[in-house]
Amino acid sequence: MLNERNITEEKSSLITQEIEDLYAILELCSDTSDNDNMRTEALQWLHTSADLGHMGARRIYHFYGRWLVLGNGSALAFKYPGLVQEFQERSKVYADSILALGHVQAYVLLSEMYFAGDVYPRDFLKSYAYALAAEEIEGDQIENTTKMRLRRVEYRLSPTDRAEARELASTLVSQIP
Amino acid sequence: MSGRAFFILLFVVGTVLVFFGSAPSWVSRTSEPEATEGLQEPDLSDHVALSLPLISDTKAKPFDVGIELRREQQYRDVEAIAGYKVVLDETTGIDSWAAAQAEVIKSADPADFSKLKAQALAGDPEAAMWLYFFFDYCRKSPRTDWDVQNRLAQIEAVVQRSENQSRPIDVDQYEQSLDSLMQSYRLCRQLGADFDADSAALEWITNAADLGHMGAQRLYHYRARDLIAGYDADLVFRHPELIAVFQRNAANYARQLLASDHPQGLLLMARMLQIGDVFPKDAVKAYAYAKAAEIIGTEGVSEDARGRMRWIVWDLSDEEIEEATELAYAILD
Repeated sequence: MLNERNITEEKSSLITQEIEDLYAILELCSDTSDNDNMRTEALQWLHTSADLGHMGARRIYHFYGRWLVLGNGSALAFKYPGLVQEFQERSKVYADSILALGHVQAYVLLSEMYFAGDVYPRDFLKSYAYALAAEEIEGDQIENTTKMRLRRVEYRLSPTDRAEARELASTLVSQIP
Repeated sequence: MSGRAFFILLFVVGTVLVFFGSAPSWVSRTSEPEATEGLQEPDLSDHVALSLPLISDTKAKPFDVGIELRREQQYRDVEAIAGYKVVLDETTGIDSWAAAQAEVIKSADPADFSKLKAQALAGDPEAAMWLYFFFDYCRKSPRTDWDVQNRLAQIEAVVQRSENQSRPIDVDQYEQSLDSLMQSYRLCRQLGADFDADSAALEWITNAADLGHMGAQRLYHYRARDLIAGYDADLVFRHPELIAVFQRNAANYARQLLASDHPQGLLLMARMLQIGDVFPKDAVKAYAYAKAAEIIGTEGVSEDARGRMRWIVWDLSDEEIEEATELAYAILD
């Protein structure tokens, strides 16, 4: 049967694992039928964790916070006035707190933010510069998502813009505390 | 974010909740959001509940073959609108209508749009709606030579990568990509690189709806939300106040459509009540409005209504379906 459908045993085992994971999640979440309430809870705990100083929560806030506020099918931003502004303010505060530590993740995060244009106005040059700075710090260890962003932004910039971004990236790296 | 990543986040949050049972006292829950006053119950005071024979609805699986049938119906609708009928009548599904309009835009003469603007500013709702379709089409289109060259380079890169893989790229699909790229460039380059097409599209769908265009009023809830806060949209971050404007406008257009007795008004109410971004979420009322649209609509409209009902029905018990069916007849009374 496996051969007929051209599915290797390895793949089959991965699929089985995914199904088991799904059932585990289903069991865990069976009492939380209202999707909006679940999103509200998740957002509140993300806020709490970041406010208590969890650097991981501060790092992922921009991505997950936005998803919870406005992600596919979410109505939270429509239900709670001011949530979008709060998301923007929190994103800035959390990014600044990571930047103050000189952590490479701050540069990755700021590159994300300038690319998305949801916290600061969209600026591909700055997005490229922050990603280059991260690449300069991390070298080969740079995350794939940052490599992909570099490629995505690069094609939008003229050669002059790229040169300016490289200069900015060097300045950013030299300013690391 | 991928569904898997979202489930992982939920798992982590869920684990914390299970572990602590409820919010621990040492955690200060900052910025507890308060429900907005903008979400108001729809006015159903005119609808009197009647004792009517119940029509039982079978719970069908969502995403079943009905989806395919619905798509076929849409294609048939588009073919039927070969003359590109402008009026949104009571037989045409909204998606089919919008698709037909978009097809017209693609083959339009770029020079037409400056004339359209004069007509729209003079108060022509059709011209305003065409302008919306034009700006919406150009939102993601290349508008400079630089853009086109880069997009072509991207397509070429995909082709080159595919040559090294066991499954080569579909040549027809490749040519179609090139055609549609050049077609959109031909039409949209007149706007220039820095033109804010998102804002322009939002402005003209709002103008068209304000001028009484039924298609605009029906599409506003879906399209304006996508322009303001959809994937890759940044309008909401530049102008957060647009959320309140969107809610006010969407509710207003729904009332106007309902007042005109157009079945699309019922479908719009069903969508709004299901999603809960304009009125509070209410699956029973959402189902009732969709059911009412199915009863009085024909062809594409009924098919749209059944599609919506198949989606909502999973949030309802059998008793609630009966309640919603009664309410549907009360709505139509």
